Amino acid sequence: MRVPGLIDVVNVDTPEAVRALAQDARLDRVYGKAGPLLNRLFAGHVRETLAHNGVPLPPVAARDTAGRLAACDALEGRLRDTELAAAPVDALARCVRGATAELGIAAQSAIGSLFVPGYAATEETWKAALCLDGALRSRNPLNFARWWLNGRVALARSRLADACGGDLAALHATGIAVHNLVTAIERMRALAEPPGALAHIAPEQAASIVLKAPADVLREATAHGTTPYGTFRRGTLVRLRLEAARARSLNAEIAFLSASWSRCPAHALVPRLLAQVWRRAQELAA
Amino acid sequence: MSRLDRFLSRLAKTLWPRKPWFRWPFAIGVAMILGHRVNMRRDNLSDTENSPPTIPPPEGFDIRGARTADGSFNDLGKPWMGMAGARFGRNMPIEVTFGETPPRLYEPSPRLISNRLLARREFVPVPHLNVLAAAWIQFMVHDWLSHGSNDKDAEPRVIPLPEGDAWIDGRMTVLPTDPDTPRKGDEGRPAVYTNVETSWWDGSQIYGSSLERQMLVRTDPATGKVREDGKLGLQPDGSLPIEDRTIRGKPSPGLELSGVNGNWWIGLSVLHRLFTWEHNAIVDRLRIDHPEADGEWLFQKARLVNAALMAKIHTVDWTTALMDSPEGRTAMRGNYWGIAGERFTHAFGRIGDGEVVSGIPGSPVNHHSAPYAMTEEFAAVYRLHSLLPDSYSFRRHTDDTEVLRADLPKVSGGDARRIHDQVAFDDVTYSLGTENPGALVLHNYPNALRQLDRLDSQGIHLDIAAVDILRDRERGVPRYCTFRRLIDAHAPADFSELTDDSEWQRELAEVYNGKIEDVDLLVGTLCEPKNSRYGTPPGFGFSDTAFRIFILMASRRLKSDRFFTDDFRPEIYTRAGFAWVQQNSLRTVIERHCPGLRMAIADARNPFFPWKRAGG
Repeated sequence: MRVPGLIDVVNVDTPEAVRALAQDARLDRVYGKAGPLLNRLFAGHVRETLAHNGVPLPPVAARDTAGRLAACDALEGRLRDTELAAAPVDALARCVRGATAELGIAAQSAIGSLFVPGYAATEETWKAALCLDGALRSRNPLNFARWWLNGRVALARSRLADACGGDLAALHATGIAVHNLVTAIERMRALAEPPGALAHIAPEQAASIVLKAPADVLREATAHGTTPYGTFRRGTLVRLRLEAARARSLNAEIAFLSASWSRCPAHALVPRLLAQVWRRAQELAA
Repeated sequence: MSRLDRFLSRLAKTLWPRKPWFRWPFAIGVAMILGHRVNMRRDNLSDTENSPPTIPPPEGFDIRGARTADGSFNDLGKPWMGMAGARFGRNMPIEVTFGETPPRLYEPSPRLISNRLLARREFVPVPHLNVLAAAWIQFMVHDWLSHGSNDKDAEPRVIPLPEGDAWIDGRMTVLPTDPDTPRKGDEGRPAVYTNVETSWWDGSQIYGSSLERQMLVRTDPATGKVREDGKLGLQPDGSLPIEDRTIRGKPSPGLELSGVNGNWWIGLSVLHRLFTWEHNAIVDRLRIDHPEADGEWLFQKARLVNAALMAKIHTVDWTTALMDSPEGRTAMRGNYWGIAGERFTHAFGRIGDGEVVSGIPGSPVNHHSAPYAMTEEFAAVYRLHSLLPDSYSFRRHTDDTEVLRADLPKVSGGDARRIHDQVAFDDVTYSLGTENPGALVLHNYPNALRQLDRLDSQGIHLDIAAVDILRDRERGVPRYCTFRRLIDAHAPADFSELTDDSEWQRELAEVYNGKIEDVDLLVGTLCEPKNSRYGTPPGFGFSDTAFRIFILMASRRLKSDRFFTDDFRPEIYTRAGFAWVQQNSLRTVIERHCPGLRMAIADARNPFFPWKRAGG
């Protein structure tokens, strides 16, 4: 979609296009620095929402940010080797079996405890996560102004940061990524519903089916470029629609962009966690 | 997506829940068909190739100007696309394509379905088609796809026999389909299968899908050497050479040689012979303009032309015979000529690049949302065994007197050749042109195929009807209701919405224990002719469900293929070759090689409609 001076967005939702553009060196996470009016507004909003004390959260840090890669490698290694605790897996498995009220808090606890030992989600932290996620999804400039004035989003961010001891990666995980886990568990519940389904579907298969990728991630063009998937200019926003592309391929690599410079460090952990939850739900049912 | 496409997409999305496309007025119906195609190109193409192989270009071969033997390098950027051995794609979201496993795999028993719902009670014909139409689609399917041999190392599947079933061996076993070896990135994904033929519309049923096979069909049986004139090998009397075994190496005495000779019967034999002759005729024509050209060049160019002619015949003749309604004819002829039509295109050429105005051939290549591949769902909706009659009458084209009558097994495999020994080729062709195929309805599956004595091993029998059901389940093809929902078509809520026939409703409810969601895709599609609200469109020879996949894949076979799009031009085909494609049809092919049949075919509006009987 392009209206000169107003908006310039390229949407891609096929695995091939997402893979290619995720690797394109001309697309980065330098938000709101160039481009037409609405591009600057929306990208600037993403930049503001996903920063704490002026520091971008790791999943939206620019490619060349000092220490980004090393921190990502370290976190990836830590998450890969983490032993999944029984209690949070149990809590999520119970949600698969029907206990719905506590799903958000259970999911946030499960994720938070991977980063901060003893992390305990509360009603407040879960509300803060809902607020932050809602703000990120909003495309309404009036809301942007309202939140800037009343400080509600900043407060939610601070609450999440306090709960995880200022760990910015944990802040993103418990505030934003947690919603993908919640959706995955809800999908799991639906998948387990038909008689016999829980017993007959293998854990790895279930994990693959229910995995939820971020609906989209944004890149901003830093230079002019022409690709088979669209032409962009400096400031063009490229929307990689990860969930749509994942659904087409059922490929976890797409969901986590794990073959790109911006890979999610939890790319090995999440499928393992989901499979374990399904396995535990099978045990509870048996 | 263009504005036109967006409009058509929305139109189809808005209108189909009210009633299907064929119950709207003509113009809206055609627009909805196009809209469904737009939506399916976006939503119903799933790629299964995670880490495709790197393919080196064949040495000394003009990949730009000719089709490679294995189908590689059709797409120059992704040379593996559509080649023999590549994976089947899907027309469904990947998450619903996990293969069923026991006990679900056998619920209800495929053999029970075969006995109760599929077995032919009495032959139900399609009065407006001839048997060549049945042969033709198998001829095409052999060009497009094959799952190859089954997994001989796997534990055979044991299909439960219903109580009182007098199955010959007392135990019905079927080997599973051989899945592709999982590669990097396949974790957590469904098993995938490979297409052992090229997925392209490249005549590989005649030319084979490997260089080795190609050289075999180019070999002169008299000398044992590859013909140097670019022609295909034939016996001195013009018949196909004898291979005595199938392409998979199973012994089959008397079996004719071709690129693909599995599941052979007299209908295939006729079409293979006709288009082998056509290849050789094209070589003769090209040599007039290119006397200096060598046999290799002539062969490759003639193959291009012959394949394009077969694609055209399928699009313009066969599909319009099977979809004999104003909307069906407009949509299918439109695929080839566009709304501008044949005469306009002949006179003035294409108008722009759009496929709607001037058709797909010659428009720019576009794979839409996934690399090109044949799909499992396409294979599933093309299970058309009910088209085959159980009995064949061979009659003289001069006076229509019967020369020979034979059952299906006696016109199959090597026995097809024995028919040729007893009946003249023109008479065989005439007989197939004047008889009707079976209708695609319940209770019309050829009984010969339900108790097939396998060619290569005594004592092993197959019920192909049961195998058809099992294969769809095993390969993760969704069952009927789910399948319909995922192609924007009405899914029946109960058996009364599946068919108007109360007897069928009762039988279906009994077999499926009252669970409409369990109805298999094949069974559901065979119910559609007796479903006045959502079923087979008027004039159509097959179901609306099959048609939806068809409008997607029939267009795609052309639109993805470089030799029908970017390189469909005289510079690649040669001037004479390009004109040959434009000027010929199945009618001219038959008239050229069987001039004695001109009178028989003359009155048929379409060569796949029943021909006039001699003396009639």
